[in-house]
Amino acid sequence: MTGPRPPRLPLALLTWRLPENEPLIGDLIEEFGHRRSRVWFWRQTIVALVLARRQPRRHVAPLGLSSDPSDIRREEIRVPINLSASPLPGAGGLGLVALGVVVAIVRPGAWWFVVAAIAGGLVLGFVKVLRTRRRFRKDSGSFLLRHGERHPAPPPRG
Amino acid sequence: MPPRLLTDFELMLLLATLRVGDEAYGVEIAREIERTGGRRVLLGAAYTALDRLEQRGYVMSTIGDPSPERGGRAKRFFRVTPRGLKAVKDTQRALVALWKDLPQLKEKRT
Repeated sequence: MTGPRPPRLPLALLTWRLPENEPLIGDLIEEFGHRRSRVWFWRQTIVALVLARRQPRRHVAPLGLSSDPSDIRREEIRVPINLSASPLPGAGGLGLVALGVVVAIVRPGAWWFVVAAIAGGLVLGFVKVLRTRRRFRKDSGSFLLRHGERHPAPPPRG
Repeated sequence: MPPRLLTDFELMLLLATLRVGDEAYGVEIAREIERTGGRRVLLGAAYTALDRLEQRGYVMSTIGDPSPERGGRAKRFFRVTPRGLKAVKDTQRALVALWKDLPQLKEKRT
């Protein structure tokens, strides 16, 4: 990269949260080369992240279940549900490990707290799964299908 | 069915895209709006609105080549479609009709 380097943290956030919006990130880097204002870059980053979050979400099919099996495109963009209820997708388990490490350092005797948190998370996860399954059955009026079962390979031509 | 009118920001984006021409990508469109329209543009907001306009068929976009000054990221070039042009004209017509014959907006002659 030529010219001044944009701040690392907002750039990493953009790359992580908006990987599909490469042209926007490129525009911000290019414009930063002219403006050279870190405040400007941070402001643009925050607005881009907030707006991306406010855009309509992609179809979510928890645990590989689909309410509309006829829609093949939805099969491709299926998003797994975050059972740990973490605001950061994919960071739920990592957050739990970090919590365990912090508790082990600060209060080694409070191991039961981590166990209780894991048990609580599991119970919450199962409840969410059951409720979501029930809602899918009610909304779609059809049966639930596991990923891949609806679209069997076509019979060989002969 | 009455024509769907554009918001002020959508109208500015389409007009700036038309003014810039073949080299219309995010940075150039934002600069054109700032230079000509006097309005500061947040690039994230511009892309959100341009995505919406593309979904409606008012613009179409193509991806260019990556370049080093952009950290190896490609540009996304926008072009106004005939449908987008019609939306601009419809909006202009509606605004001009609203503008006309308003005594409050007439300049006083001395």
